[in-house]
Amino acid sequence: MPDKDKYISYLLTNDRAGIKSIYDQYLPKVQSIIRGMGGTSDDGWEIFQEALIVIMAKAQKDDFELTSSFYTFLVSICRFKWFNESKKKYKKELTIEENITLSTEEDIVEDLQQVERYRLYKAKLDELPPLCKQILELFFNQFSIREITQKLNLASENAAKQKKHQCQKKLIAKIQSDTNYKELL
Amino acid sequence: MKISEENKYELFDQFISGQMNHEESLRFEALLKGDVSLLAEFNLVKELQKVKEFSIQEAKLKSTLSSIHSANTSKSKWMKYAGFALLLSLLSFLLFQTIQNQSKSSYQDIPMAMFEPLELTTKSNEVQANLRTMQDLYNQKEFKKAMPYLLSHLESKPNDLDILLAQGIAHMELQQFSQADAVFDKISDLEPRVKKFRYYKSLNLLKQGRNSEAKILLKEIVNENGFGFEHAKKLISTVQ
Repeated sequence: MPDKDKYISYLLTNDRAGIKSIYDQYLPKVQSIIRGMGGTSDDGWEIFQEALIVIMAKAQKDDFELTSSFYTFLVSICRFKWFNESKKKYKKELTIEENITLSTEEDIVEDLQQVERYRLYKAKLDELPPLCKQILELFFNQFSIREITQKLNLASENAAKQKKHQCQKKLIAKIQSDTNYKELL
Repeated sequence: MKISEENKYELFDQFISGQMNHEESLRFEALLKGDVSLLAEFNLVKELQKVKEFSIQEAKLKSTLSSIHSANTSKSKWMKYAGFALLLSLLSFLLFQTIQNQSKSSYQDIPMAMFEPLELTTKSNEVQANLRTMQDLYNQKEFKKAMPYLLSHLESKPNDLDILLAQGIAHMELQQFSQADAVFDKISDLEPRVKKFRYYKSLNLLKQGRNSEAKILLKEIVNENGFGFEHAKKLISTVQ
């Protein structure tokens, strides 16, 4: 298995030994890059974690294919993520050089936004009433309406279906009304 | 196919789960293409199905990374502390050595400002031959070579104060400090009125780093204007 597929597999299966090898091999490099961009080693560690989560989320998609090396992809995400973070954190202005570098990394924006959207959805799901949350979580976990009816002791499958649609509608309304959501599309 | 608020989510679910046939799917896709807000909502519903999986995976990955990082950080911290402790010990040792050596080395090479040559004989006849050789070697500061002659002479005259002093000085110059101490103490016991040895004894103490003992003796010499008091004065001002 090529290294890049091996590393993706470690992330998707939460293989501790494999993730440790990614950590040992790449964290020092990422920290060095982030320090080179004005950050600290701690910033590097935060960015490294985020980048691995982004890669893991991207790899969950059925059509995922990594065209570059794992390291190139990881570093591109880290640099882009740090660039955005430092802009927020230090109110740093863009320099021409940074713009040129980052223009090659535009496709990473979608990957980062995807993760942020997932986090927003999860936060909104947690805000729902307990029954709604339970129904939708079971539904997202591929449980059928019949199984949800039985598990949650609901009156009928039809009632479960109606409840699920109501909850879904409520969740979608919550997400769409969030000001951050539009920025993440 | 008509989409209403009532059947919207059911149709979304049917399409996503592949329950629609080919024709129904095509019609549904055409509806989505013609309605931007419907398409956005559909995409959101589709993405929502992945949230649970993502959240679980994210939590697992974060937890794994955190545990690796903490283990690594505490290992590095331990290594850092161990390294620091080692460095501290090394520095303390070096400092101790430096202080010790300073007190020793500052005085180890201290010159014997008051070296007095032996004047026992001017004769080199057969009877006086050994005595003359001993005197010459001693006066040339060839202490190692002079020592057997000194010891030999003391065998026959063990209380010869001049030769005992020469023996003490020779031991000191050969860095046999404890032997020198013993000889100086012997002189003190033999003839307390003879005070010359105190100067050499104080030098011998300084060479061993026994500064406080040396200082007491040097002060005595200075107070009594004893043998070597000028040099003793200078030494007191430099002794820590």
